[in-house]
Amino acid sequence: MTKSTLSQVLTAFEDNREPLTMNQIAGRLGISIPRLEGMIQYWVRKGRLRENVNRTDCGTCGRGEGECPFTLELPRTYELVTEDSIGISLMSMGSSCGHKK
Amino acid sequence: MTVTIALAGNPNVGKSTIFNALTGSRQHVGNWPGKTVAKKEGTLTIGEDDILVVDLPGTYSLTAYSVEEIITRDFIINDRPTAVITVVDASNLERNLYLVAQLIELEVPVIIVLNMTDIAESRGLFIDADKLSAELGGIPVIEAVGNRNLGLEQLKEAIIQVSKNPPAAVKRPRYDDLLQIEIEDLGREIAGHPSLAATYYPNWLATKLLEEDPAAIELVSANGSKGLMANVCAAQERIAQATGEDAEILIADRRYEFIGDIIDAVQERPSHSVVTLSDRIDDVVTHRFLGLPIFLLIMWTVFQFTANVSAPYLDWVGGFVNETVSGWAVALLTAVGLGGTWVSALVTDGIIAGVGGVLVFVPVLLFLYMALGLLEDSGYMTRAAFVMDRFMRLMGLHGKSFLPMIVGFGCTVPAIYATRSLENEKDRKLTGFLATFMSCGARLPVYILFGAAFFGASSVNLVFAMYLLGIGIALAVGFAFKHTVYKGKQPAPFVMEMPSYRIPHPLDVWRQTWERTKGFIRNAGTIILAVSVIFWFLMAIPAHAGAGSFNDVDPADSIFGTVSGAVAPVFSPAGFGSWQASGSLLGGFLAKEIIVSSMNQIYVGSDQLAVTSDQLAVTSDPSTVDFAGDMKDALVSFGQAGLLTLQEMANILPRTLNLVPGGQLAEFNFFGQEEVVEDTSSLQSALVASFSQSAGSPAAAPIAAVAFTVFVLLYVPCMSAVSAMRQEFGSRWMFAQIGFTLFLAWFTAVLVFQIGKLIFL
Repeated sequence: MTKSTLSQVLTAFEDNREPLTMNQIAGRLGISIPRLEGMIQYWVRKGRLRENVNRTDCGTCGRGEGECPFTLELPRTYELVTEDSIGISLMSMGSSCGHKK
Repeated sequence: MTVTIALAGNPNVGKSTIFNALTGSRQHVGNWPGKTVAKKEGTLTIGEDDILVVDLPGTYSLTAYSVEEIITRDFIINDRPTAVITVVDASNLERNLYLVAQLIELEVPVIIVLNMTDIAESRGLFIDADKLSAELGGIPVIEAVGNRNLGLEQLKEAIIQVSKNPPAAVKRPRYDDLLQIEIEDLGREIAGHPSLAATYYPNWLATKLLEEDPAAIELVSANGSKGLMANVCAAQERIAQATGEDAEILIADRRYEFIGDIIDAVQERPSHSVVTLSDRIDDVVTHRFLGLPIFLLIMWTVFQFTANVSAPYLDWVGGFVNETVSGWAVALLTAVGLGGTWVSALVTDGIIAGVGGVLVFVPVLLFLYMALGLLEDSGYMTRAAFVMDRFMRLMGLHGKSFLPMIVGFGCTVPAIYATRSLENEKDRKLTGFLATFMSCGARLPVYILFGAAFFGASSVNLVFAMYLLGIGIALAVGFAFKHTVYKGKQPAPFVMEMPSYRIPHPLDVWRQTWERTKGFIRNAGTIILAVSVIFWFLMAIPAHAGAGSFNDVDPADSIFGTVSGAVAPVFSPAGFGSWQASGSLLGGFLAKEIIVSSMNQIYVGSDQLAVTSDQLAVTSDPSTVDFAGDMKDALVSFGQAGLLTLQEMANILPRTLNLVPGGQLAEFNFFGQEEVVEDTSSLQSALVASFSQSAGSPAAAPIAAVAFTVFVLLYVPCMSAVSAMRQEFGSRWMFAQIGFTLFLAWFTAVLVFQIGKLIFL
């Protein structure tokens, strides 16, 4: 059975062993970047992926966001939420019907 | 007639702008009942109709995961507004339509405001609003530019039209046959529950139950509909058996397909967007095998730019400070009767030698930060972090750990604080630890000085080697830690947005370059000035009776010399066991810039005193000092330095190409300057003499010099960085770091010197 595109997005994260760009995943799945972004956000809301907005300041010297001359402004990154990263197993969160998701 | 209109949309789409434009000053702000989320309502009058506009919180969807989503959904279901105006960002239509799809499923009349159409057009995105309306079954679509009040009149007309005559044949996401059948079956069952059907649209509630929506499940359970829940579970089981996937995922996936089909029909993208120039460049720059060599080549070019291109200005600053400014100072002090006194010595040998010795390197840092700024502004640094992720993960570290390390090339303090972006505590501690091996800007003057003194035209190789060594040591230490102290699974790789490359904006690059360099100059005027004064006093006070008198003592017999001399034997195995070298390293505990400033004081200060004494006959008479002439000479030589800088920039290419074995391209020499093998400063010649003595021979001096720079690279970071480490990771970790880096620095320096002697001598 062919998996849904939404599932394939999550699988791309699960199966991958090296960093990827959004372009690479979108190209592999044959979808547009905006659709990929939307699907990634779906998994972020579900708690399966984590979005990291990289800070542009350390918050210690009173300079505002983006004002520190030493930090870098880097784009968002997304990563898979694993057992190690959250301390509980997501797979142990069953559905309301009692079957595991 | 009072009509209630809800205003919904994703965050940051200009919803508030539209709300303010519609309601003006007739607004009221409160809180949603039982929530801390602000609720804004306003009114407007269209013809004879009073319209109440309720601004709903910005949401991306209508699940029940956030309070904003719950508020939006509950308001639409319970308050039944006449219509929902959905503001969408035209430059990001595909993402915004997910919320629209869910609102349509709620079976509430929708009006779409296509906002920010100007931004969309500037990006080459054109949306056929009429076609979008047709694709959605007649939903009004109003093009607007909210911050210019464009489209508002059409919006008001649409509000009246929809409130009187909502579109009947709205298109909703169509699910696959099995899914649709299950939704409709459950919908019919829900319709038979009066308590549920009175409030909720049956098919919508059925969809939510299949999606395992917590609020929907709780609602049905509270209504005692156990039979319904059992049927929902059975439907989920059938769908999973038939498709291999959860109903929830299939429903969301079909929504995205529905949206994708609409986008294909209504949105025109730029023809070149399929594969952009950025994509082509990234295919090479982030290539699995080419990425790292390209990164190294770019960093080598950065150091060429830093070390060689800045050299003419470095010489200019050195000449201006050590000769012109020093001469003026002596003349002025003589004019006020302080010539030849300890005050004059303090000013020339303490302050000017110390502070000036550091200011000389301002051009170096300026060029370094400019080069890094160009790389950042162009978008390349994102790719560097991406390429380095593979190597970071060898250490069990996340690729994001390289980002604080890149920051460490500027300053270690923000690099340590930047580890806050890492979620895992162990990753944070290890990354902060390793960031101290990234050679900060304050250490660069040491490399430049020693490179020029011992390696002449090849000085850039020493600089590059130190940066590479720092990265290499960080990788090795990280690898060792991750397989011993911090054993754990390799973190999952990330997916990164890659913004397009762009031409760096000169003003942005300059502003950041100046902000970063300012910190260095500020240090020169504060901590380095203070330490220079203190060090001068410590070098002017004899350590024991018979050693001399105040300001008339051999520095080796001063308090400074005696204390430094007591520590010096520790460094003998590394080839720099002299009181001068150990004394300058002591100052480096406070700030790394002090190493060079104290060396200038130690090695050159007393010489300058002798020089200025000889020159007293000339300079002591202020009338002989030609301030205007000196300034004119300084400006002329500044211009000449600029021309030489251009030559050095051109020479980056032949020097880079000459890295290829056999490469023998001649360098440019626009001004016919003869290559001179010279001592460019008395400090450099003093260093060569001192290191020749401590290393045992002139032949061993360069090896000892490399060992010294290695020690500077690796030993304890400055006081500010240590303080940051204590604040972020605790005192135990701070002391562990101090101890480890001291040992590693000493051990590596000894290794370099001893093995270097074996190989080269």
